[in-house]
Amino acid sequence: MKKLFYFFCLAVPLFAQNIDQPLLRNARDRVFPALVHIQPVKEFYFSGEKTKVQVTGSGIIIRPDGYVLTNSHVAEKARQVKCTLSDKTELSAEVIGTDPWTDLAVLKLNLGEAGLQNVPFAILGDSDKLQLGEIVLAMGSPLGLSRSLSMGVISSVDRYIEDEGEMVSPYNLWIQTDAAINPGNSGGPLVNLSGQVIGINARALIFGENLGFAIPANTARFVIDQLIRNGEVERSWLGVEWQEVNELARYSGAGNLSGVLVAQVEPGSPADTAGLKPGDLITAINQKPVQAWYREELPRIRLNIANLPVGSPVHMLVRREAQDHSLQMISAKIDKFYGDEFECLEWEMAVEEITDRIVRNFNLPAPAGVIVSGVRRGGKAHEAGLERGAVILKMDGLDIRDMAHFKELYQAAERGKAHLLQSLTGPSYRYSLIPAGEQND
Amino acid sequence: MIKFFFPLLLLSLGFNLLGAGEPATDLLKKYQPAMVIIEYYEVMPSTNSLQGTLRIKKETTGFLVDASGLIMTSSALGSGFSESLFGESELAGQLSLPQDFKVRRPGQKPVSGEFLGKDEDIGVAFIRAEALKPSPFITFTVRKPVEIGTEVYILANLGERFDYAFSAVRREVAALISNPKTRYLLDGNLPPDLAPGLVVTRQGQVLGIIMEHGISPAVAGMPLRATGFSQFLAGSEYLKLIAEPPQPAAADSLRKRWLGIYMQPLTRELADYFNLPQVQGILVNTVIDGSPAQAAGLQPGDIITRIGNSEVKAEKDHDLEIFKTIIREFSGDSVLLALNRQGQVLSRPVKLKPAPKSKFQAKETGSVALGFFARELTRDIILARNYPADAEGVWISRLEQAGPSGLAGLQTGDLLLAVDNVSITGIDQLSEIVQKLEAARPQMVKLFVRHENTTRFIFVKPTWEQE
Repeated sequence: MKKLFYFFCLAVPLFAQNIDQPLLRNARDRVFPALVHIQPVKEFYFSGEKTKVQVTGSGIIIRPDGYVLTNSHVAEKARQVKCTLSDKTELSAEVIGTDPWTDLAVLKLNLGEAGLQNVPFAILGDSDKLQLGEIVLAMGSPLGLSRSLSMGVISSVDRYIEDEGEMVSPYNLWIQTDAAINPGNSGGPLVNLSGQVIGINARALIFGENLGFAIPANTARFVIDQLIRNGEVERSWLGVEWQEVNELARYSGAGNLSGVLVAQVEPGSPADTAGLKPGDLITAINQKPVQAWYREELPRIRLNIANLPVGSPVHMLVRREAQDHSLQMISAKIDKFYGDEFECLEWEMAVEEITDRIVRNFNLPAPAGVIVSGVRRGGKAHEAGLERGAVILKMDGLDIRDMAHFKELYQAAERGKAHLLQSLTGPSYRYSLIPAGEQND
Repeated sequence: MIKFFFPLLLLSLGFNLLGAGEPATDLLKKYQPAMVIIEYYEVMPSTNSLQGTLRIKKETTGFLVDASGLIMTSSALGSGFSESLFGESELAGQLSLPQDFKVRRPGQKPVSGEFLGKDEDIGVAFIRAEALKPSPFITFTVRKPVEIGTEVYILANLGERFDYAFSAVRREVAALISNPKTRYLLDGNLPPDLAPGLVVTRQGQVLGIIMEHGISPAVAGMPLRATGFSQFLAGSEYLKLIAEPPQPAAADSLRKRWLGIYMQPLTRELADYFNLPQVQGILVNTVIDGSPAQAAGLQPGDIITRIGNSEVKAEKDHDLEIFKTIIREFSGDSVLLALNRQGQVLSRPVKLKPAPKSKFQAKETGSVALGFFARELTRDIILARNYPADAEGVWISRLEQAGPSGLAGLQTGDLLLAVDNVSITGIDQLSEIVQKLEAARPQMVKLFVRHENTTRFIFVKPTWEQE
């Protein structure tokens, strides 16, 4: 620790002599007043019970009327959000919308609370113009230390990060920087020397040093617009996983193969219905040539499809066994990232909506029923043999279609009677009898 | 005078035989010749190369149980290898049987032995060392029931750590449990060095064996050591196995039977809910695709009330084991099940099948040049990886991590679905494909694989040996 400390003491003044100090100051002054320290209180279900916890993150005001850009992982599942502005004004904010697919969220400050009409805001820059080695500043509240600034350079402009559990980013190519980014920096801006926000800091690497990752401002623009207008980002979905073609080209001895390879087709998806198959090579989508030689080119293809209005006709030119085919499909709406959760107080458990993601991750035969997200130890559901991860398919012999249907059945269920639930865990089904409750008066 | 002396003489003879006051010494003297030391090797696949294996030398002890040199020991032997379909099947770990058995009595020359197999339900493994015959052996006493409070001695060879010393420890029988198998609890736990250990009465009757892995949860209903009691199965439970020990390498002739359902107890509350006149039966909750139960028309929700002439009853989870044991050890192929389906009484003849193959019995094929080996997809792997029951392809059982396929992104446990656009339907077909590839020596091979819930193509540059 000591060594590190000395290093900074020496390095910063030396460094400062070589760069344009007024430029740094200027950039700082343009963005700092728009910086927000965010403390959301998140609500989630733990062991079948509603639990609250306060977390800390950062954000940046992007409009004078108080819209704040931050990370989805900071704002999601938050009921109340406490914000502290740069001048230490405290006020609350409302979550306008979250987009877990890009890890972005928009909040709206309740300016009236502090008697404010307008607030200072920052301007988004053009992240496509970033250069390797360009000096950038990261701002935010690392580990809850508010209004903090660190400096570094752009280390990479097109970092591809594989999906890992909940950490997915199919549409992002990340900006990598060596500016120190720590937990709490999440949602804070990455700023160029012109004082423009060119990225939103979102991730750092465990065990890595000076490896921070930011979402490019140009990805954020579309998302901000959609969130402010609709409260959500509506995306098109075809049910295809793509793969780059450089190895396929080597395999087939084709030097300049163009297109993108189909790696997976979800059963029942628009692509499946249209007859697309793994191994197909797509050379054009809606008459525009597509090309993904390297995997870094995949997010753009995904994004181009996702950004089509839901219900758009999509035409694909498919190369299969040395012949060109033409396939037509209609894009569906991408399913939500998180399903709704519902606490069954009487039965002492919580259930979650079955999303496409859950169907896929749990290898479920069909998107029906609800999934148990938690049971209270020793509670009725637990005693009846229900466990987290069990998919409830039937109640008293009736098929449960979805969450809305489950809620309906649950609310209509007579409390004075026992109820039989049929659930699926892995390969085996199970009957669970929830005992009759005591009749309240 | 004679009348008086004769019983006295007998009495003193008896005392002399059992060693006046110190029966442990005499019991050890009597059973020592039937105790053997077993040396063997566990074989693990190496992750560095496909030809290489890791051989780990192991040692345990066992007991001669017949005149032909048949040795019984704990199923802990070759612990990474399990024939059980119900345990967790690990992907890494052993894929072959323990090998190179050597058996000896303390202080004598080792002779080679042959591994016959295991019965994990009752926690035993069998080895035959014909060169040891004729040999003294132990005979289990079929005397029932042993009374609670009976004094017993646990006789064991303590192994290399204690220079192969023999030991005897005194305990009392603390409890008798008769379902699904007869077993006894002893007062207090035993040091692990005493397993496997022979349980004998003061009079020298052999009651059973304390096994290292104990009795499987499928029989005991709970993990053995968790309770603080040591327990052993009654010797009578071993008699059938000793008379008919497992056959080596009998891949297609597993002796255990399989019905193919998941089930749960029919509790009083469930019986009330279903409006049943009485609480008696087992509730079928899942019928496995392609199982004998499915062929016989069983359905989820059916309540099994009788098997053959015996009543079936399970009010709690533990009771299910009785039914499982009846099925697994059923001696015939056909059995009549009586069912209650929504109030209707039905009778269904079921033709039981051998339990499905495990990964150990599955055939393997592969290619060193490609850097992987694959095995037939067995039920244990489907369950372990949560693949759908109708999953196709073969699974990658061994992989050279920095080999051609490993570098291209293939992982152990992945499903291989196609090679160069040919769908893989079975292990023999893959063997043919590999042979063709080895003849044609292409520069690159295209694999289509499933990793967890995603599929993708993997392009492999084989390293063909120079001709």
